[in-house]
Amino acid sequence: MILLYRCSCFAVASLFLFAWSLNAQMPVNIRGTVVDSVTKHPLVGATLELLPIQKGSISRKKGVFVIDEIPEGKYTFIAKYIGYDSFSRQIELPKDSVLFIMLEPSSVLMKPTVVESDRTSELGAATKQTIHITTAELDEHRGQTLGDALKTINGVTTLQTGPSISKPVIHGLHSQRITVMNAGVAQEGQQWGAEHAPEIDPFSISSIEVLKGSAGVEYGVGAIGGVIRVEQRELPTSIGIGGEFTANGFSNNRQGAGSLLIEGGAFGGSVGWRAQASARKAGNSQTSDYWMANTGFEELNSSATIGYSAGNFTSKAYYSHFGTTLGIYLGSHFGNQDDLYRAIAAGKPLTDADFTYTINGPKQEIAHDLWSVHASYRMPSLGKFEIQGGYQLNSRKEFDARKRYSDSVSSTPIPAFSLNLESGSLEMKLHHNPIGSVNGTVGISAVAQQNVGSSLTYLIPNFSVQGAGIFAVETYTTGEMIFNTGLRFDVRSQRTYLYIPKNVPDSSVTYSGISGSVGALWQISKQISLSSNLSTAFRAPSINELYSEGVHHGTAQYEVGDRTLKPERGYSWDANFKINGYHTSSEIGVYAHYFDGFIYTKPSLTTILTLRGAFPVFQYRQVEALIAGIDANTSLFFTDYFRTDLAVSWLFGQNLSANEPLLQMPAPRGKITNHFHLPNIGMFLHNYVEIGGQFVARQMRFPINGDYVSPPASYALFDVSAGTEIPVSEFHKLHLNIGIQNIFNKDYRDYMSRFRYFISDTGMNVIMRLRIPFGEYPDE
Amino acid sequence: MKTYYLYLIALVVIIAGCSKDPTAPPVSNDHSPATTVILTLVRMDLSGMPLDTTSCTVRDTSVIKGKLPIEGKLSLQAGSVYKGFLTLLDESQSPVKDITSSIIAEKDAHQFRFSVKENSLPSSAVVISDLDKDSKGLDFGLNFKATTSIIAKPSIGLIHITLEHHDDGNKAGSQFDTDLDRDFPFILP
Repeated sequence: MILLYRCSCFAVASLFLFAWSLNAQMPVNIRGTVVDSVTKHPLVGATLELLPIQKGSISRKKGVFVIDEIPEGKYTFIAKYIGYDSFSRQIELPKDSVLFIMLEPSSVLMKPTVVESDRTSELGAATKQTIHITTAELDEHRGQTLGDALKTINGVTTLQTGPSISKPVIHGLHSQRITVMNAGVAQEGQQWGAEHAPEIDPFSISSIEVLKGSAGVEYGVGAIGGVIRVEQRELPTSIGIGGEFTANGFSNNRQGAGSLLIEGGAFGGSVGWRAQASARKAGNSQTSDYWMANTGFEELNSSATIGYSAGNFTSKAYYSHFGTTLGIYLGSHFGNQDDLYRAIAAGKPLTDADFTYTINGPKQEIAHDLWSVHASYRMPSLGKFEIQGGYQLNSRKEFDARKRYSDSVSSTPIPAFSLNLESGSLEMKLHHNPIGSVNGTVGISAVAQQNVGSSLTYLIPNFSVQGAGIFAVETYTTGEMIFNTGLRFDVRSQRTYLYIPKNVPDSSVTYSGISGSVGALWQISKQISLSSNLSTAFRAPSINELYSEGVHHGTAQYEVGDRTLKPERGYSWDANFKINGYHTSSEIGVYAHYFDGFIYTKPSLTTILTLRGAFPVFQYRQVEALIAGIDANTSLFFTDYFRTDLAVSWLFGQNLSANEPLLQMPAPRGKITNHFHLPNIGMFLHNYVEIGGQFVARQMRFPINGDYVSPPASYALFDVSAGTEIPVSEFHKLHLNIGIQNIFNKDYRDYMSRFRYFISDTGMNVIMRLRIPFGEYPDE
Repeated sequence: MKTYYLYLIALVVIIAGCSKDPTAPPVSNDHSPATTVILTLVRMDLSGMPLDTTSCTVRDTSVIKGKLPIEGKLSLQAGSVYKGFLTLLDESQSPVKDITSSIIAEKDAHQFRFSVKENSLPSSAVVISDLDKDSKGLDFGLNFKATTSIIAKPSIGLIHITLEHHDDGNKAGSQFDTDLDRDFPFILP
């Protein structure tokens, strides 16, 4: 807490200091109205953006919008609304401060689940491909974990540990190789663990952005494989009170989940606030054939936000608590290799289970608290200044199947290990005003972290981290070309504390390195664009890679860290080709990620003798590796009422040093979704039916002798869903969606499922999603 | 840009402020898993009085460094009856802690199983019987009887001992964790 106190004190003090040092100037407000070009009806909820300053707004009642406090100058004004063609024009301020925008309905009925590359994204450079999952899409696909929603993105898969633990995988990379940004700060949990999922409530977020490939310049050490940015919805900007109730039900594990959100605006809209709470309870999941013992889980989460904005100043404070208890499949913990072989040979659970909500060991108990403070001030002479502070407390307790009791009289089971990670971060950025045709951002950031654990058996030593970085990203725009470059320097010092039984000395090591990127986008015609990027980033070896020494009971391997590991350096290249025709919209992305010093565990072909017998020894090693692939998708609009989306992704992972495939890379896969837009029927509006299929091939590329079982067979899964909206008041519609996943109750095992050795993945799941907005704010 | 530089300086101050060393926290390790198992055989005379004792110790060398993984050999005599028992230690602690009582406390969930081998083949040179029982009358096996073959034939072999941990108490079930899986060598002169 000392750390929090110091950092937050300073952050708050510096905010005040900063606000005080400002000098007032008179920028321009843009006002206007957005209407349908055919019916002239106002459009509520259209997104409005100004480039290159990335300031935006949303049209409210009667299609009216306001974008406050824009410095004089030339801008590109963009308006977007689902089902309409995007509108873009050059404007000059103060001349064009009142705008009347008419949007043309798309020739096609875009489904409300737009997955599109968004060049004005918060995530990264203008030339990089970022993928955005909108609120509407989240509502349709919101599942039981954050990973479930991310899986809808082409090129993103999940690493599953049973039904409840789902880690996002971008281009075959996960855990410490990707950065998850939550409420503006990098989520810090024990992310090195393959069975440690991001501690984020799926109900708390309203949109997700994914950047594939290294983003070290913007996100610092660790963002070597990609970035996932989850955002909460914008705070109200007008006086009132409103909210929404959301409920989800899942048949497979008889799960119920609900969220209540209340928000409001006060003081003329300058203060906005929100409070949200959600709960979730799930029992055992089932495959097409049997129950998976002890796979229930429960969650209790809450969050609160308050924001204040006046003139050029905005500020926001956010707090969230995530609490979960996760059961781990009972048959996945192995005393020794014979136990594992027995489970593999059986091919199904060794003991029958029934449905229950009871969670026994092995289990995880996780609490994650996150505080985030953000403020920005637009200095007309200089640009927009931003400061972001974060503090997180992650507590993870894992319990074994067997109960262990403390030596004292207490009858409470004690965890096999317990880790407490405390992290503080501070970042300051200046989005400077355009200098000629160049605009960009410069910034500095700092992190501090400490991890204290206790365990029955050794896991990792205690450690602390301090780091700092300085970066600049600049974009040059000319005609139909955009050029982009960025540079960052980071230094990171890690201290490890004494642990005598494993000969871990009290020692410090400092890593430093440069991240950089260059990119270009060429808008060849109104329909066709081509972009390409080169970037490099690094990450420091994580604590388990350095200091592991013990049996991993999920895999019956004895893992040994290497204390001499060097930082892992990644180089990424990507190219994206986009073509938007009258009846089609297509995008092809190719990429190659080369790693110097790629860290992985290699069988050492020796064994270590424990009381439980001999275990094969796996050692952390560094090699050269290459991951390359293609993500392609296309949308076909046959009629106004029918749309087909096709997506394929293929990935090639190779250990170049050993000249063999990398372990556990996602298999090639394809997806087809047919979306039927149905006419309104009485009070049922925006009706649709969607039928989809997913096809996953067998992974044919895997290291020989690197795994217990060769990759599972290919499979096809089919889903259907249907949705409608029912007006419940003048401003509000009830949103209802019912979907059936794995409709044929297919028995299958995915290569990226860590339990594929001994049990199948989940069977049919009927999901009901209900959302009821209420209060004074109209539906967006 | 002046303000910006000011904040750069401020940030350096923050980093310095935040980077005070946290006190090095100890890793607690009060709760011991076994590192070492001792098999002791006590030769009994016909009236049940002890004559002599032989033992063999096996260790977890991933935890205990600098000691032998197997220490001692069971030196047996033909045609004898032994009282056998196992002792579990945590040698990672100083002083070494006897944690046999913790397995006795969980005897309903555990069973020791024995097999005897010579040259990797099943052998009847030593016969293990009369395993002690848990509270439900099922075999536990921390204490047992060992009988050596009456035919004095020189042999070298292994007593293989596993410890099955059955969470559900169903000791005949196939869903269990193996807590011990080691060989204890013996010689019959």
